[in-house]
Amino acid sequence: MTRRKYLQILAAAGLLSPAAVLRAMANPLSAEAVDALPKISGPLTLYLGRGEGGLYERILDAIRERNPQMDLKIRRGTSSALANTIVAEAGAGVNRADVFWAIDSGSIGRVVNSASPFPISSSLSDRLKPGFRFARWTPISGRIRTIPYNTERLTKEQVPTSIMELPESGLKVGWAPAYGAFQTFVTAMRLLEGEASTRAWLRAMRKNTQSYAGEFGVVMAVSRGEVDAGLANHYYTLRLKKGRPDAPVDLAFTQGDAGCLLNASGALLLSKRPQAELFLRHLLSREVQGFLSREAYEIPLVEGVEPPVGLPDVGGLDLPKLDLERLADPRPTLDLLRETGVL
Amino acid sequence: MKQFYNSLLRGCRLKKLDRFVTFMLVGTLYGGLIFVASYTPLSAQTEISVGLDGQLEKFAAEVTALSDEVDAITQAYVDGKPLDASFKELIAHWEAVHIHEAIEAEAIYLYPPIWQGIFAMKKTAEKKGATTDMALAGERTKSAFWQALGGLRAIAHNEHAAPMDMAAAHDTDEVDGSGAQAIAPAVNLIELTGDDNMRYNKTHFVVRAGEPVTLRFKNIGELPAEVMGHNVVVLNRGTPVERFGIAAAKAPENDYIPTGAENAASIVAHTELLGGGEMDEISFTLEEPGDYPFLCSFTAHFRLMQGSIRAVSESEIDPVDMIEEQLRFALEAYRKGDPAAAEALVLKTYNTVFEGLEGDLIERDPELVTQLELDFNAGLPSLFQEGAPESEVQMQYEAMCSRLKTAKRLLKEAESERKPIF
Repeated sequence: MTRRKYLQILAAAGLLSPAAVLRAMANPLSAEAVDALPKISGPLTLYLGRGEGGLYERILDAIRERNPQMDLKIRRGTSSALANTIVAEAGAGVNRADVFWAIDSGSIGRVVNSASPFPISSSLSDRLKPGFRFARWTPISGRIRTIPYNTERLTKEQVPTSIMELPESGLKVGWAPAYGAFQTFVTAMRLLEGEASTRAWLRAMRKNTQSYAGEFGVVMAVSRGEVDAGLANHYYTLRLKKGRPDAPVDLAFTQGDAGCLLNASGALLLSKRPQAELFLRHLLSREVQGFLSREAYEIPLVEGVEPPVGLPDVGGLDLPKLDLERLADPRPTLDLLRETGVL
Repeated sequence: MKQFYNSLLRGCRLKKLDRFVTFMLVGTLYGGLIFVASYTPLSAQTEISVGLDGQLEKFAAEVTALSDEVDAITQAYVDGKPLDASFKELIAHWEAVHIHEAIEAEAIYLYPPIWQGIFAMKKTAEKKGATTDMALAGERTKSAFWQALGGLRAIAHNEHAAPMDMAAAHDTDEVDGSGAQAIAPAVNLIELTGDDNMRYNKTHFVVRAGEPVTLRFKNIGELPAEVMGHNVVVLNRGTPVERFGIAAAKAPENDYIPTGAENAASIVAHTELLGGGEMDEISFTLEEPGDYPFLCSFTAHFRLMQGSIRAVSESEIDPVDMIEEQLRFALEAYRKGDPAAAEALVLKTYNTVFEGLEGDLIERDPELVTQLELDFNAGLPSLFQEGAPESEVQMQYEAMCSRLKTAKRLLKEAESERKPIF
């Protein structure tokens, strides 16, 4: 799928206005250097979905240090719990948070649909890569589904480019069905391919899969040759390769389906305070995006920041057409995984 | 101790003292000694003590009258007379006398024994106990009165006596965790008791900032809320406990929760005012890292009953320490016969804490990560499911701790190599 086609699909789905499409098709502005940003001052309340170990905290510490006049209050919790809180507060006519930063777009979607966050200004969204500019939230960084494969057993060409063809490939595949990222991937498949096809896919896959507790376990199994390939987020393989450059594992990507779903952490504005948007500009600054890419292997979605070492630019990948906000509800997926005996 | 008092009395050349005078002197000296020994003069005296010296005579007369009243009750009990009205009068008199206020303000340490003595007498009467028990309870009550007078006398005679940092003077309670290095528990749970001696069982807690805290409080005393009620009022960072405690004393109609904008803004949360045997549970969130004081707001109790809750941010918490602590909780749950809770806790720890650490560890020691993933997902959970002997579970836990120690070292290395963001 070309970028132009992708944008047209987003516009057709109502996610982008025609003006936004035109703007998005224009070359994005380069990420801002933090030195170019005005200092943040005044009170600011952040609802922070926990994730990435202490790296988000490190970012907050750095922003605090640079902006001593900022009075930052943070409420922490899981992204889904905080999303529910924001929706409940909005329902009660209360607005405590200025910014919500969540680790998954599903939680963002819940707030976008139920709590009317304030629009993201074009001066901010224009910094994002085409396809990642949304009216009422901004992605901060991404992670993508991949197929890690054992390079001593397979060539990249032997890995199917369609996730739906994987059961018939004859490959022995490792997966981690209890993992949240895997379940989000199956949710995406349900939304893209339908319940019946997903059910059939799960049943077919069961015949030639090996289950692991986590997706790092999947990648290690691939590198040991226990399985030919696996289903996992991209960063496990990249980290393993950094520590063990000779590990016989590499990444393959499917095309235009759930197998290469790019999910994103994101943020949105719950107040009109100028410091709230300025805070988002810090998160999208060249330095913070570079840190996320370098240290967390997250995919930067602003222009001018290198992706993690070992990962192609997402602009060159054929990403599925999917409104990420629809990934919020995992319950039908869990039902399906149980019904098919995968969980 | 008796010999010690006798020697003091001899030193004072006090001979042939009648029982009353002996009692008064012993009480006075004992009370004074407690104060002199307990309170280090660290800061200026409070306004309350101004003019104390001039009131001692009045206080002594009040204590004499109260002691006589106690004697009358014990005698009436021996004579088999009804006592209900007498107790009500004694309590009313005790609450009305000037020395009561002075003890609350200056000698709070000696305040509980008075109530305990009165209620021991009352209980003896209600249970129709032996007359000797009533006599003992009466002596205990009078002794408490005189000790309190002694305390006031000691303060009045020492111009530089300190305002009582009672909580500090008597705070020998065990601290949750290990002081500044304490680990914030995975579960933000505070369990606290208060008793008739006006003491909390613990005075320092560590919790995670920005996440809900559950506080369970029980008054484990026997006295009713009207005379020895306890609560827990959590205050915002930087709120002066003394200022709040004094304001609270003026709000008995509101269960000692002071009103007004400034006081209301100082309160994070509070329990109900509880009498002996009562419990309450509250939830609140300490949004920002820092030290949040807490106190009992019943009149003057804050002088003995206060502490602090340290809310720590995510970046202050060592995640490996947190994992070890959660595993300990899991083992405890298993020992208590709840393997399902133990298993759930291990898996939650894996998902919410260990997963966030994996990144740096994978680069440095992927085999270690693989082994720890097995530990979390198969090792311990399997043992819980099988109902394995505690010794086996303990061995598995220790093996995990050993691997976690390595993980901690590797994470420190990773941290030292990290470049600044800006």
